[in-house]
Amino acid sequence: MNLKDLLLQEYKNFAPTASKALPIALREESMKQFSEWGIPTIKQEEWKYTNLKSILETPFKLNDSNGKAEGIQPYTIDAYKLVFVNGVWNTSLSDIKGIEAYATLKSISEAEPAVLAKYFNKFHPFQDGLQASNLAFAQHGIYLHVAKGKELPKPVLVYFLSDTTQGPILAQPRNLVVLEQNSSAKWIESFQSTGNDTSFTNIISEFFLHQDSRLEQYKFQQENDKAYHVGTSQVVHLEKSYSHSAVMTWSGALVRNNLNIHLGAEYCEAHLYGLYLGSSNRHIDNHTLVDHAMPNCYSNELYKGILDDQSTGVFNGKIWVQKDAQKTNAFQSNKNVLLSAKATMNTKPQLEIFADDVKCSHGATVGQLDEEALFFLRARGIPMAQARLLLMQAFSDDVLNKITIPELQEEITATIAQRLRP
Amino acid sequence: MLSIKNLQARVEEKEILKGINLEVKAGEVHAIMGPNGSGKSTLASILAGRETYEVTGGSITFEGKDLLELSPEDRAREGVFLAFQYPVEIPGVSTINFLKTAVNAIREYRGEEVMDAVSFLKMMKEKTKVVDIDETLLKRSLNEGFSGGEKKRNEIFQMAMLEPKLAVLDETDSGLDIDALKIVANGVNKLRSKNNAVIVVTHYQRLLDYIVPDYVHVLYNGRIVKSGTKELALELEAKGYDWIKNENTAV
Ligand SMILES: Nc1ncnc2c1ncn2[C@@H]1O[C@H](COP(=O)(O)OP(=O)(O)O)[C@@H](O)[C@H]1O
Ligand SMILES: [Mg+2]
Repeated sequence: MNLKDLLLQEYKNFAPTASKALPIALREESMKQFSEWGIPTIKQEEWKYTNLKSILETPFKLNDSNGKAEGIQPYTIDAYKLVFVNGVWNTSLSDIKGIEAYATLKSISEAEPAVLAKYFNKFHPFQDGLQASNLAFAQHGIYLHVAKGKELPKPVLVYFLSDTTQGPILAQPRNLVVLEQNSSAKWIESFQSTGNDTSFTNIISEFFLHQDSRLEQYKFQQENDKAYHVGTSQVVHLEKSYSHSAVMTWSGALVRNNLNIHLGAEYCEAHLYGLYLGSSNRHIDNHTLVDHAMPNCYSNELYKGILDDQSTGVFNGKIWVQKDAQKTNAFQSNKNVLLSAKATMNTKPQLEIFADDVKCSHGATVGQLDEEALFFLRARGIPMAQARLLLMQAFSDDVLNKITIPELQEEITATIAQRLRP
Repeated sequence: MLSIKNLQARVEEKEILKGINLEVKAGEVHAIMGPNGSGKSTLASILAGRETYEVTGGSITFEGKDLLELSPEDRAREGVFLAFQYPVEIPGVSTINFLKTAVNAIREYRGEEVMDAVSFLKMMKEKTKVVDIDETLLKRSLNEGFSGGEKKRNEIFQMAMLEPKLAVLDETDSGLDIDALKIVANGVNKLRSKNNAVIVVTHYQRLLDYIVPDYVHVLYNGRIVKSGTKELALELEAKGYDWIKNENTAV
């Protein structure tokens, strides 16, 4: 059975058990769209370079609650910890003691209908079958609501583990994070896997930022070489709110990261960072959107990639400056290093500017390691492999330095250094 | 220590070196002078192992080893050091960062123990004094935003840290004011010993007032057309390079 039929059939079993927090009509509508659209194909403009066909016939199991959490490689940072295994929240492994003084944290399926009506699924610049499927199946996920004026003293760290030891699994988590006025939070998503079989994660995380709130969110992709991942993170900004996003991918078979930022009020600021390392046949696609809908906002984006072997990379960076968004400052840069003649990178900045008083810039480069720098380092006695490593680390440090939690930065930097080592 | 015999080299189809002969013994300082484009940097780069140049004939022996057989890193570890005419900028790599790696790569090659962080920093502090370089510069991205003088001083600082047997300085004096020139010369003179040798590539005799050479060679059009002692540098200064050019076009 192909993936589309599998999901249609699974939905029939799922619908009667679905949480009523979300109107059933919305799910039904979404599933109807899915049956029309199906799994995205390369005929769709937004999916031109990323082909999901190799998982269409995989016999996935959905939301398998028998998965084991063993094998998670925990980060050592102090954090509120949450664990999902195969798309299901394993509440017995949560460590969120004390968070109630700052925030509400519960399952998205227990969120109040009024909350969902206000914040859920409010921004959808692009729609496709996978987003429709995620919405129809929305059941497992975190709803975090940080109270007015509160600053979460620790980051919220969510592990999404794919346990493929019993066969291929499919997960569709859906998270909602709301920051009330003047609050702040750090949110970390870590994708990991155990076993050697295929997994497919189709996740959406939404962030809603009230006035003067601050969000930092990180996404680390470190699943196995058979992991397929399509993830969308969306940040909706109200006045003077601030977001800082960093998306890092160094594992998986096919990874598609969508990051959509909606600057929906004045004086907002958004920073977007990405780092991706391709080796063997890995395919890494980063699609970003910064939607400047209102005046006086600032956005800054830096994505960097190193591609080796036959790996492929895609960067598509959209900046929309709508006609009301005067005094916009929007900057974008995408830099790539190809280590092998067989590696490829497709990079496309896409600026659509409808206001006249704006400052926008973008730049994209695809090159090799600097030969002159390599010769210099070797002429100082450093062997070739180490000289290359130094240059690659320097290249990736620009993005790694944007992890503002020092121990986490150290940990991820060490992991990445290990990956870069020949 | 270094023996260059009938060295010929080209880049793409262009012949640049047309038969260079040079003998350098431990303890000596040689100056190589000559007009722009005569092949001085080519010679220096070939000594360090730059692969853009194709050696088409001749040999280079360093301490009994065939230098041309060695990779750039192994030449450095054998004790060859090149101060670049145009120092490289490397964003994100600080001088301290790569020097730590370099010092230990060299020690490892020689079968010595790696240097711990404390000893490394101590050595660094000492050497910064030799060339009077600001420590904060060494923590910044290599040569990024450095002035011309700072870049050249940084090259000499690296030389001091790596303690080479043979140092090749390619126009390290160009763009330096007289104070900086003295500091650089002082750094080089500190390295001089009966076990080490220095090749100073320069355009002007000015530097040779401070680094007094044992021999002076004039490189013109890919050949060493004149060799002598330090007086040759003074003669060149007085007569200008046209003297050499005229003499050699006549042949
Ligand atoms: N990489 C290169 N490609 C082409 N020509 C070169 C290259 N390097 C040097 N040359 C040429 O070789 C000649 C000698 O250059 P160089 O060694 O830099 O001279 P010098 O250092 O004495 O000024 C010059 O004509 C220069 O243009
Ligand atoms: Mg030169």
